Amino acid sequence: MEKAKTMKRALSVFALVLSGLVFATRPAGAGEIRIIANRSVGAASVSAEEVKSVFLETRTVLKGGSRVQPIIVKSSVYSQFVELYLGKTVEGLETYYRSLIFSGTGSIPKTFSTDVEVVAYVSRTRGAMAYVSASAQAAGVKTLEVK
Amino acid sequence: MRSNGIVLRAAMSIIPGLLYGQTDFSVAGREIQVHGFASQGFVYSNQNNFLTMNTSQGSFAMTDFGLNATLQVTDKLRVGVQIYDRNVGQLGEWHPLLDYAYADYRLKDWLGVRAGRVKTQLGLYTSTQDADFLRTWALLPQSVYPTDLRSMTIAHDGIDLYGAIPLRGAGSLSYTAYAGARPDDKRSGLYYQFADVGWPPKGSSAWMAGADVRWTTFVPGLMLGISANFQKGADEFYPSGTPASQPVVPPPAGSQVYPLGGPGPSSGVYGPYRATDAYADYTTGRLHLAGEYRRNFRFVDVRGMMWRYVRNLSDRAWFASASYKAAKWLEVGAYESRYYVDHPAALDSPYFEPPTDSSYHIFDHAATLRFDLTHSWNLKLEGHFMDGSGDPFAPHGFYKRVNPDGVKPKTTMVVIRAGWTF
Repeated sequence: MEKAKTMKRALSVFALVLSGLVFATRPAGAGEIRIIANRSVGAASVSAEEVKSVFLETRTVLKGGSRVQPIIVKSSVYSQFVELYLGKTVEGLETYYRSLIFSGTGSIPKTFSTDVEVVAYVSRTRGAMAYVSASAQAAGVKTLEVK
Repeated sequence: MRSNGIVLRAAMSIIPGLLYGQTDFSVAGREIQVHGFASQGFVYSNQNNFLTMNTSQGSFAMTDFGLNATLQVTDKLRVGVQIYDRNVGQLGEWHPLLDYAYADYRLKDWLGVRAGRVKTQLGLYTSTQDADFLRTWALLPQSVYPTDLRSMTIAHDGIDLYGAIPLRGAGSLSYTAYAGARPDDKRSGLYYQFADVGWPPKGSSAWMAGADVRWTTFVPGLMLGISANFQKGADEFYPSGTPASQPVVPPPAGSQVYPLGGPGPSSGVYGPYRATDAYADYTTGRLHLAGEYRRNFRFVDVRGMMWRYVRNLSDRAWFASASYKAAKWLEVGAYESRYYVDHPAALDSPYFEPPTDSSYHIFDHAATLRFDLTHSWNLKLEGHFMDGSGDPFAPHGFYKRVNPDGVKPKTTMVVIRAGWTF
């Protein structure tokens, strides 16, 4: 009887975790990160799944029809962004990009090291999409709400 | 003059960039990415020589490198080229190969077209098998990814259709379907396996088609996939008596022989070769698990001047691996790799040594330490404990040319490999 109860409890926890995985939208802790894009991007919001697929290079067009290209910034929120939005470690992401380039199936996104640099680049580059810390100055770019 | 200027500008951009691991440069307003890798290995085994190296004496003849350039021409069009060269024992022998040279046009996220020389998507690692820095291992599991038979599936001259389809809450599906001709590599196990049993091939060609579907599941870090590869090809052997130094092996006793004309083999038709593959890859935190199963059906219809018969070279293989990132600079891992021969050549022929248990399989238990010395440099230390030698017609590492007295059933081997990438 006790064993059945324990099993039932374990299954409930498993179902809860699974539903959390399936229906999760905005990643927890994502409030410290802002998703930005060039003003040519028509969308006002993106889903977490879209952010993930854009940065993993399986998506080049957002649901609204805007063509985008991912930009990497190795700033203070880099590892947080990679873990929260892409579900990888920084090393795992770099291995992923390298596997694209050496198999001839992709390229490594343009990379910057500070929020200031990436904001400047995104502001002048059609379709560019990046992330910065929530406190960064983001003049000349639009912020995409993550739903 | 103009081209000299472009080369000079490119060189001036690349050289300082390499020092800092930055490899992008612009020519005519377009950004070109340049990346590369190189590795040097040392292999020492107790008795059997492996992968055409004299490993029982200790061998440094394990060097390879690759260099590529990629240009995003427009939003939808990308072109790329990669050169690969290796000297692994008698494999490669420093003859550079065009590894890929493609134009990729992405019409939609769910439909792109890639044409030219394209890397083959087959299982977890076929398209990236040379890039050892991507993985924990110094040697990939040789049951599924034999280094000597790389050219069998590595690339094709043809066309790919590919795309990715989001599955809402269920992850995403990506696919590749392809068709083309298999590039020829005369310094590979495909040639040596026949040459070592007395049939030196003059040429080997094949058409291939296949597909790969991989599901990035809703479970974070879990990817599942299936692949298939079909080939129909022809090997042309030197006709009877040429070259004179090569012994002619008569058709095996007991096989179905069709009398035709002369004593020696002159051609062989692959037909068909079929590989089916299922694989899984899971990463959680610092732990990485992977596994793959492959079934190869391969028949060679050998046609001599006087006779012909069909030889069965089918096999199956699987591996399971686990690795753990113990520290930023240290990864530890192990894998179990198993290769099974359906029908050893010796079963058919009195001209080979009688088959033993060892002829039916190669089992490899491997353990690895990987040290990431810097962002670009790594060093791997790997131990292999192998049981079995496999079939001389499908050697998977053990060749008569470096084991003239035969292959002993047990092999213990250490591989040390240093790699660099940018």
